[in-house]
Amino acid sequence: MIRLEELAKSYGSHEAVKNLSLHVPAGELFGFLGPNGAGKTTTIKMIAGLLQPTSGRVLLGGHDLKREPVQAKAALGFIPDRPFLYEKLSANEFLRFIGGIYGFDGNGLESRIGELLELVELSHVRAELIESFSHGMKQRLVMAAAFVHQPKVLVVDEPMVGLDPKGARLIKKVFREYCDTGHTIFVSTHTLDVAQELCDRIGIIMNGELIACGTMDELENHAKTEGHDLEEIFLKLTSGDGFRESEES
Amino acid sequence: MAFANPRKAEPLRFEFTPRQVIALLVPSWQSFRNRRRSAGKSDVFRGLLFAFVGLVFGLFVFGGFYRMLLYIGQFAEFTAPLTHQVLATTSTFILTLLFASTVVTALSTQYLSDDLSLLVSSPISLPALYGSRLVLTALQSSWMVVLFSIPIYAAFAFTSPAPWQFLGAAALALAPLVVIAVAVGSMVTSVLMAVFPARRVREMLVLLAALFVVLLVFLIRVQQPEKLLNPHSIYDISEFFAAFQTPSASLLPSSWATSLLIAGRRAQPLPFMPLALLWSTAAATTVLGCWLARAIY
Repeated sequence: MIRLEELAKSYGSHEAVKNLSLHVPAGELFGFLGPNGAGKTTTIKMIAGLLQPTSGRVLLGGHDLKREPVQAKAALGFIPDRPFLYEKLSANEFLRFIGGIYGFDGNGLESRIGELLELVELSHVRAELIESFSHGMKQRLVMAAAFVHQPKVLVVDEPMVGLDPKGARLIKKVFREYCDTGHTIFVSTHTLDVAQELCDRIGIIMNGELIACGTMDELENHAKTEGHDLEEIFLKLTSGDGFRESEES
Repeated sequence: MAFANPRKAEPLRFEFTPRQVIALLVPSWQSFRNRRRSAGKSDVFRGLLFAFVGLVFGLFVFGGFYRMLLYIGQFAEFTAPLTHQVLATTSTFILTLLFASTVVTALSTQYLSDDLSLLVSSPISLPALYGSRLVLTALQSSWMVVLFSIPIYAAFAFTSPAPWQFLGAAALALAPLVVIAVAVGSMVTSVLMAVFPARRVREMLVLLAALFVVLLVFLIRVQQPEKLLNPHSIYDISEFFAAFQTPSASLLPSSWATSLLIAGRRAQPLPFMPLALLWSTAAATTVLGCWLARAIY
């Protein structure tokens, strides 16, 4: 579903991502971890088509993002860490617009919007302007928007930021169920316990390179640690850099 | 659960159609409408104040041009060439303002707008995205210029023997002028963004804005309008007509627009060549802009 082939991105002499190759198959929930400045967001922006790779290619649902951008993006749902919402639209209007972009209209779209708003518990405010929503409500609306077209691939940057425990539990449940129906989710997060709890496989990027990738057992073997603790594995593999940078930021 | 039974999606429309462009403009329209609906008393007051100031300024512009045209009308043998010169200066002024306004507006609508990350990660064809941004740029950059050209053209219409024909000619001339200025201005911004980082482009545009003012003054100076406002100060009739031999920008769309306006004012049939040049240039610059966008947007 997601295939990255020798993906690289440079800014002048700085190599933000170096020859990253990765395959995330259908039905997998993949966690993408790394210290600050490791290249996570650059990778995600290249997958979403917001940044042109310096070299390499991205395939989404079998479509090359460069050669068939519209088809590749039709298979993609993207939730950035700071998502954009039209503040002067109502939740209903926003979801109708998003549905329209993906070629949906009519009664089918209306019932889909109704289902999604109910799922994220925003039905009661569907006609209200988004500007009046709390941060958590906006996050849930963004989630609903990403699911309008039922993308084959969902890419999420920091999904739990700003969500209360109830919202976080809802999102975790939704993500798991979505993958169980054969869809792929690629999640970048700093919340290691969420990654450990949710993800089928985890990749760790550092200085633009994928330094480890696999299931929890595989990562444990790779890091030569015991106790099935992702935080310990992460800190050992990144030599504590991630921890130090997180502390600093 | 809403995700458990994905229904079969309708086929996606990937082609570039005017409908797609309009669909991308829907949030802007709905935001505008919702802003008006949710406007409080202070917003209404601010709107009314803004409209009042605009109206006063419009009346001031109308009054100024009306008096000037009445004054020019006193010099029977010089009225036509003087009016020609004033129309030429006005058209040049409007074209330059539209162009400058577009270069600045295009930077925010086409490159720095917050919703671009949402739209670019969606399956929208590039021409449709560019087309919708071009329409948005045109609306945002030209509404004020067009609004304040109305009292100017109204003054010409009121002092013309054929006011309605003049207003028709003005509409036929102004529409392609807007399209040309927006297409060319947007191309300039695209080239700047392709060569320089966004922050540098922003700084450059401040400099360019100052250069536009200089260009405007230069273009008006080329027309030498002050010589023509006092024909009696010119002793020799040949000297007076020589004033019209100053380098005329015959390749500028504003001079084609002027030809249309003069014909409209004289109640003559609109000349085919300037009309064809204006509209074909508008179409050509739009196509060129789309082509450039495909290459570098």
